[in-house]
Amino acid sequence: MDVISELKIGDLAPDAIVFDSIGQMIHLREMWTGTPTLLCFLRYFG
Amino acid sequence: MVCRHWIAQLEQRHQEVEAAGLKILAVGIGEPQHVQRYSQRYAPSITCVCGAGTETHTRYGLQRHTIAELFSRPVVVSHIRAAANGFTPGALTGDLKILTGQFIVDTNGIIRYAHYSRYVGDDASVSVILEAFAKFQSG
Repeated sequence: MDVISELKIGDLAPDAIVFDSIGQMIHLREMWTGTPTLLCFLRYFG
Repeated sequence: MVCRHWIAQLEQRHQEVEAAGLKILAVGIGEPQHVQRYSQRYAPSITCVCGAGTETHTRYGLQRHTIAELFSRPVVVSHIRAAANGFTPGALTGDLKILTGQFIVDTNGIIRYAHYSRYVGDDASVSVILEAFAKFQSG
């Protein structure tokens, strides 16, 4: 495995730009404004 | 197909997760049309988004495994379990080697739960996630 720093409880969740199903750009940080969020990373959309 | 199996389980329990106070966001790799096809079929109640590459995954510290690890016993078992539940492989849009993870992020952007998969199929169960969130809420 590659050596990558894992995030820990208490760390700031990194922001990133992602896209929804119609191609609209979203900042991840916008998602947890107001509601705690379960962020699930998948390997791919196949 | 293991991802499909896991997201389908989350879809089945999405009301329970949302009733607990959590919004669900699935982040995959691909293009918007892949998100649309995948979410309609496997997770219509879950907000799915994508990054074009692995950058977002890498920012969250998600690991890449080796080809040899793809054929390790727990990974093979995960694939058999997914296949037994009717989930078969689809066209790959992302990175076969990237591993998955689940995080709970509070409204201040602080991580309150983190699970890193050590092999394909090593995802946190919905029950474990809900327990972790309840523990966080109870302080």
